[in-house]
Amino acid sequence: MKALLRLLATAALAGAVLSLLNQVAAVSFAPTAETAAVPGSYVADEVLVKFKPVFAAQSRTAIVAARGHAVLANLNRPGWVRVRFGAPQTMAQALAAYWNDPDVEYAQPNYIYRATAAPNDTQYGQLWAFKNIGQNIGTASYIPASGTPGADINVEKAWDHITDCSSVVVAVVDTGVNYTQEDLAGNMWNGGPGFPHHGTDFVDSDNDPMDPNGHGTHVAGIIGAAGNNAKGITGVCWKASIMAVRVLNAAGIGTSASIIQGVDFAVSHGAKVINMSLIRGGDFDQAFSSAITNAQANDVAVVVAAGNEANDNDAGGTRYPCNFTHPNLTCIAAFDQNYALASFSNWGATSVDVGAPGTNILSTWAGTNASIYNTITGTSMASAEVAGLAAMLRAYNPQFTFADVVNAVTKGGRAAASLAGKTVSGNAIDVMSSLAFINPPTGLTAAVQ
Amino acid sequence: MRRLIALAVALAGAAAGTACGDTPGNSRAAASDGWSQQTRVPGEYLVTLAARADHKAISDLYGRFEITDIRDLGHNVFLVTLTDDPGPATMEKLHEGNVHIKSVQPNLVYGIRGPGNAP
Repeated sequence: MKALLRLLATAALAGAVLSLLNQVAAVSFAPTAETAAVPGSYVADEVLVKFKPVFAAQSRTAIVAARGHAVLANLNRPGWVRVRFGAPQTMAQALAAYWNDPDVEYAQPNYIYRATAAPNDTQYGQLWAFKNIGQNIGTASYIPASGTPGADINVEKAWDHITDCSSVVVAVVDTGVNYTQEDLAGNMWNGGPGFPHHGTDFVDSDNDPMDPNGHGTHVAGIIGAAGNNAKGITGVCWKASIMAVRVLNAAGIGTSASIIQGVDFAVSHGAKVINMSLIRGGDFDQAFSSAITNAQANDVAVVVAAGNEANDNDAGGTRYPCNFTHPNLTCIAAFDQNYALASFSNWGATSVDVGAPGTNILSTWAGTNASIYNTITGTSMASAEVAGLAAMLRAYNPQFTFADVVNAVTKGGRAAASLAGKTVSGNAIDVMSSLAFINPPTGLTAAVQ
Repeated sequence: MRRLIALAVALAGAAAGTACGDTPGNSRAAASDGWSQQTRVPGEYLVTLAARADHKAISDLYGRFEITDIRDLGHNVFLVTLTDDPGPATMEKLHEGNVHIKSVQPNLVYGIRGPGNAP
């Protein structure tokens, strides 16, 4: 939190200085009803003051001190200082005092600037996967609990372009979804009168996919928890259409039969992205494979987890669905907060496609308390981030096929040293780069004349 | 509930490192059956019929193992529940040469499997 505050303060200061550069002929600031009515638009007890050039730093400090104020910093602009005036003075009083001072050329509030796309969700600062500033994750169970600034999925820049993925139905084929959770309730799939609970349940064979476990709800939140609603967290998509398809029981266990029904349901009811954070070691599952083939025939992108056994899925034993070779299926490994391959994450130079953050991930959870959240770890979480990205890509580019989505996810990522030789692409996902990814043209010919 | 119990049995077998499916009738298949080393629901099989085949073919072929349920999962796939489970190897061997049945496999068990068995 301290690191976050420092960053905000630095950003505010930098923003203020930048604004000054654009105000060469600025007129004096006068507090208006507008600024006074927007608490938090500037630092409450600070002003920026420009002294006339004749005053050296020592003199400026003395003048400020004489008013009972304190110089916090000399800015990297001639004559400018950042001043804390403190209570009981108001902003208007402090500014008036400096405007009336013949030693001062200019005074203004220290405005607060924010990244345009950073959401206001109350626990956003804990979502290192979206914005890694080296923050400590207070509820971490995996060590390290803090990491490398910048080691994240680079989603904030993408949010300047798109936050609403609700045109694309994303099926969470899992333990169900807590569709009453405060950050999910508004982002669930509208199943009409046939599916009033936003999905279906192949465990209890009814149409209520409420999640008694939490895993599916966690995955759903990563994909599409409501963003910028001043509550909890945000998903990769701020607005989403999450279809809950329950195929795993309260213990997180399911069967080929329930899963293929779940996949078929998702496909036949309009899902264009399916997330399956589930796995099994062993031989080829023909029935499951056929369901993925059916998804492919219906242009559905399928995102799956690599597994959590520190296994080489190529040489150390196959893991399904990760090891299926369908072109519409993408398998995801997990990074820690330094973008090292997480100690538990499976990998595979031919079977695992890309990596995404998977440790100490905060998201929505199951329970009767509508504001329940939990922090857990696994390739399941990494898979969900990619499913969110896939939904965003399809919402941004409605003409995208599953092949376009897979290309943009895998080739639009950025190289990650820890994945070299351990995944097909060697890349970490990068949401903004994937959004900007353009397939190279094919089939072009040129004649030299 | 019946399926949950079956799952619990299968998982208990897996956790103990033994061949799964200690239901009556399957012990003869366990020793030489590759599928037996994997978690599956005892007595449950996914049978895929050939195009235009009648699901009666399932009863004709596997009726001897006391079929208790045949459920259509769509796309010509049927979930077949047997009381007397002969084991996957026998089930596969029996369908060889049967033009009505395209494939048969155990109903396999999947899970979320978090690190350290956490969710």
